[in-house]
Amino acid sequence: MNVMPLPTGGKRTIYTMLVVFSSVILLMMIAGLVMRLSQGGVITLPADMFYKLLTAHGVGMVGIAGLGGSTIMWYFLRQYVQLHTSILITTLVLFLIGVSCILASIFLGDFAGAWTFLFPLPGHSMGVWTNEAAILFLTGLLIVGVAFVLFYLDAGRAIIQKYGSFSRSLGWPQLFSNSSDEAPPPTVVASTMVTIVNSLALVVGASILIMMIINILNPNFTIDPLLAKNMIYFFGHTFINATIYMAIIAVYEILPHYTNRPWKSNRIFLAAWTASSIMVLIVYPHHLFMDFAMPTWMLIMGQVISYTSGFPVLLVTTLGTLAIIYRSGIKWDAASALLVLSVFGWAGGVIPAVIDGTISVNQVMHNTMWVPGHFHFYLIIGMIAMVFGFMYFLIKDSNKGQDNALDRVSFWVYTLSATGFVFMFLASGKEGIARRFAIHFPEWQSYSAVASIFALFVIVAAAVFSLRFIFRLNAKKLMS
Amino acid sequence: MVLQQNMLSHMLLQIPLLILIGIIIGLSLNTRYHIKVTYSYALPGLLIASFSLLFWMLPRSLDASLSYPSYAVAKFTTLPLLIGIPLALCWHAITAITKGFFITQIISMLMVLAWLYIESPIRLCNYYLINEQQQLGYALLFLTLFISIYYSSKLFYCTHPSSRENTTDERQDVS
Repeated sequence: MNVMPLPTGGKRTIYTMLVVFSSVILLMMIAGLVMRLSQGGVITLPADMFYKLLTAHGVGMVGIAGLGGSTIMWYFLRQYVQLHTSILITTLVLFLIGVSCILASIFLGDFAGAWTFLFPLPGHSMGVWTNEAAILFLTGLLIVGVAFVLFYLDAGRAIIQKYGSFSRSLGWPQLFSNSSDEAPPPTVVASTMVTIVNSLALVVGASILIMMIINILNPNFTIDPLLAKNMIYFFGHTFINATIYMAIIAVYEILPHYTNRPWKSNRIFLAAWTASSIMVLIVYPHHLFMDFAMPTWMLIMGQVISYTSGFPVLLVTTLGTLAIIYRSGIKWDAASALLVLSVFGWAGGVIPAVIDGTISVNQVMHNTMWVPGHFHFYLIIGMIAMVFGFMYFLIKDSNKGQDNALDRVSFWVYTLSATGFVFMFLASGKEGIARRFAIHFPEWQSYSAVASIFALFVIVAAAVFSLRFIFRLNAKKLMS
Repeated sequence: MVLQQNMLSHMLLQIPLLILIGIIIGLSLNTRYHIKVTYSYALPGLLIASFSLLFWMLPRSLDASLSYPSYAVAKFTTLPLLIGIPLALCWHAITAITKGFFITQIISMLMVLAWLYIESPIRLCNYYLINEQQQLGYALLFLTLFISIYYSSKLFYCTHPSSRENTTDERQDVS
């Protein structure tokens, strides 16, 4: 099998971004393990440290998922349109500056207001952290946001330069006007969708961040808490969803190399991505089902769109994956296995999400472990598996770098332990165990203790994936 | 001055009109003298325009332009000269990414300004009442919405001239 050659421009930046991705993922996984061990009563973690770790784990995972998804999107989109390497480097540098501010605010300034920074918590710490720490955290997020805005501006510019307009790069002439021209490739369609939705999300996110900074500096400038929550979840939900929509490009681009079957954009595919572009923007009210003051129509919309939002793209991707694999004679290795696993993770993770997106269920389950269960499902088994699969694909070539027994064992360890880990979350949620609690009742602790064992194996497997990537990079002198 | 009697018309009519005068002067200068501004000059030009606009967006500056003749003269001269003309001469010379950054920044900042004017518990300008301030806030909110919709529609429906006719699955030479 011929592996697609790496683009020369930006090659080092892509590798650097993946090394940063692996390192941060491992650190954040360890932070997660420490929290689960503490909840399981295995170790004793002071409550303030637990909430600091919770904040770092949440914001770190969301940020690094964004970086991982962007890496995949840039790498493949670069093969269709002319992206600027300098912008990619600027994105990475600004990202790291923002992350440094966030880490300093948490571990030096004691900020522990969770990654959702819900108003008015950052400015009302009851003496746990200072206003300066809160402002540093929000400023760090703002800098990370600017980094991604630059990234999407470059992507949008390049797409429009090549295809003329977003309507054409989404394949609307083929979808609505029966145009006989060949539709844009899946990578361009997905990148267009992400560029649109994330640009909107980041502008709204930047606005609420600045408003909250002003409010902390001068509390006389009040913010409607419900408006703030709407803006934060519009930004946060869209951003974390878009990480999967970026990473799925790896499946569209890499699996055809294994099966020798192209992944084409047909009309169903184009319709699915257009539908999801709209729905991903209006589904966020499902985070606000507990807010009785929300307009009823928005809550109903949140429930209905929760049922439909992910399905179009998910359906075409899942069925497309099965169709492309079926009787293709695919050669299984770590890259292909991780990518197919990731499609299962995405598809499976949506099920508990849809259940929780039902108002009557949400009123009981919202503050339980069920919620981290569903997002860990499609992040660990879905999104992160996509990036690991992409990393294996990058370092593979026809003569060297074949998978060995360690890779195969690690894949199964990762698959089984990650599944066990997320099911412990879901089982805990089913039993009504509260989320975001630093200390658990003795009756709850066994769930967390078992989950910790699974988490340990997930970390070991992820460490193998990351180290294999770094060592093979070194062996092939790809960084030089 | 009729336009200065109301905060809304002062901020959203008089100031934009003064900038528009500068833009017209800049465009006619360009037509007549064929001034070619390169990227390295365009960026400082736009920074001058941004900082000048920032100054005249401060409520204190707005007040001063009504109280002191010197500030009034400064307003009537700097808005066309330091904002309008640089905009007309420099905007076309900057890259699409820089333009996008400016537009994104303007949308985000207008949203924040709208909120500030609506929610401010005190009068920010001595010459205008608090309800006028709130009217301005809502007007800015609608302006933000309009700009967002305008640029979004443009991205969807205006075909970029440099785009190729053939947009099939053609990969770039990445070597």
